[in-house]
Amino acid sequence: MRMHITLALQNLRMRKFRTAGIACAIAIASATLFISLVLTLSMSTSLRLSMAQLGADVMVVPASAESSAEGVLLGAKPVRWHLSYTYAEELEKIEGVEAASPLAFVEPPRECCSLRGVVLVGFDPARDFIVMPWIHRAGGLGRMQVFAGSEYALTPGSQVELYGYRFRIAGRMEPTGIPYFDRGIFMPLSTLYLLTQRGGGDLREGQVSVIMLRLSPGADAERVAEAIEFNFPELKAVVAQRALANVRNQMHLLLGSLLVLSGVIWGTAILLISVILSMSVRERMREFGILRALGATRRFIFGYLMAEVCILATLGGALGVGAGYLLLSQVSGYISASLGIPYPMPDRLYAGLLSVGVIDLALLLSTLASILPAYRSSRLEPYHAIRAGE
Amino acid sequence: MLVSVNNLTKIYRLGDYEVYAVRNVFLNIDRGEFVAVTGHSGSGKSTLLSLIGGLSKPTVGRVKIDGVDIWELGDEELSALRNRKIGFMFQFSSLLPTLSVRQNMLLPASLAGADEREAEARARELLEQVGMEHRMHAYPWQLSGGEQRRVAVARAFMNHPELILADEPTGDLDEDSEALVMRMLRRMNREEGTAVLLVTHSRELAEQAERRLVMRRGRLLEVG
Repeated sequence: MRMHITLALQNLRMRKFRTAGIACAIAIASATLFISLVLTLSMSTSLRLSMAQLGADVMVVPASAESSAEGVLLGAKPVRWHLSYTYAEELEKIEGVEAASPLAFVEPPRECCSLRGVVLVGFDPARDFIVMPWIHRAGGLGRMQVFAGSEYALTPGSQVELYGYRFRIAGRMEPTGIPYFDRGIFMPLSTLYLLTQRGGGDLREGQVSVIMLRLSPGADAERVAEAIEFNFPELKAVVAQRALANVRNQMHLLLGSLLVLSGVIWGTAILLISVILSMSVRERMREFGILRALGATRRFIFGYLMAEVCILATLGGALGVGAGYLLLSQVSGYISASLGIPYPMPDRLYAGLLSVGVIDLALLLSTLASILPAYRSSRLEPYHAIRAGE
Repeated sequence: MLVSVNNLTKIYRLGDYEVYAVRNVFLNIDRGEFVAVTGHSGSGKSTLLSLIGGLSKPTVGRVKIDGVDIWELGDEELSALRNRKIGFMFQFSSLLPTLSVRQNMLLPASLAGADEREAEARARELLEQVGMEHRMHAYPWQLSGGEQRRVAVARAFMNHPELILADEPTGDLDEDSEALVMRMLRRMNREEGTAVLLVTHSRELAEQAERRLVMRRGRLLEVG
């Protein structure tokens, strides 16, 4: 085996152009596959997480905010409207509504806070069913205490400065895949109002961004939404399942196209590898004949060619995965913005497993593409192979 | 008896035609014997060598080396026999272009699973004999045609073969290189007892052998 690898490496090193050609074909195919898989899996996870973490069945926003409501539900688009807190009390009276939780989102100016890109999230501790379960698990929220999103490496007890005030971190959330939550600093609405008044923000006391509704068991979300819009024409009720289905359909269309593209690229790459190897076998017939004359078995010749392909596939696969990861990390913001849903980069373990999977697949497909040329070269009659090169 | 060839025939089919490359050849070669085969181009000399060396399968007939019918062996055994008992010299540069002189020399020993240190020493010794020890790390494309052939000749002796099958090993070489190759063949034949079957156009070279044969239209004739 060591000799196969030595010979294969030497051959790849000396035939740089062919090596680069095959490795590039494998790299492009692997990168496309890696990107498609990461996007598919990450976004599916993100949607699942959003549903589960929010725990809301209906989201209420001003009627004018309808077009970007789905983006808000998934937390990828900024909130640029306000509605009155009092709607929470009114909405709870509608049949089928079990709880109403008002939330206010504020993206403060950069200079206000010691954290960059932070989102301040205000909630009503008396009504909330979205943030409070996390806070309860961490042991509650004291005076001048806030709760941190998962994106910040803040340990409980550490401090954060917001609008000149120092707050102590009471706990940290699990990653949710929702930017408003992961980049959020959570505090009671009353605290948020005080801070924004001091900082000159446009959120006034009594205003919130959205009201999340949890429905009673068995309640029909569509009917509740209709009732809300009938009673409050100035509001829009977004049913979570419907909004997610719309996003999911959009996403599936895009990802389906990506996977088809990846399949086409892999098909082309397999064909290319097979053709290049077949040409290479013809060009190297004398080499194989000489090796056979020196005592190499058919199995050795087959193994030698397969070792070459395996090295190329690993190299190309690794390059492709690396390039795919880099590309994704550069354009993740753009993807998220254009699809209107959060796009969390996969964590290291997840990305590592996916990389190994893609490289293994590259190995498998490249091996399949090269079996026939390698088999043919191993079956050549040595004398014929030597003479063919003359 | 090292080599015993019995009624060896090789027929190539070209469409409806059958071409006899080698026809009913009988030949015995003893251990340490030096045999030369001459003949015109296309008379079947190279084909005969390939049949004896197990590089091509005969249509009819048997080849025995050390009493073993080589065409009764499986690929593993036949390859091992080629590796350990036969050294090939071709009428062209047979060095692998992607390997250095040293790596080319070590190839037969590596295939045999030989001890690396011993193989290194043997390679150095043989390269010294052909005056190529100073080009150990050069690649074939950095050598002249004559130098490449000298390395290939040295490589044929790496595994202490019992039989050398030399197909025009001095073809298109300059006089000095030709003399060097022939000196090496005679020395190995004499000192290591390696049998040599030399195919050549040159009568002069053939006369250096103990026994001379001529091939005509695939048939082998003994001339002295």
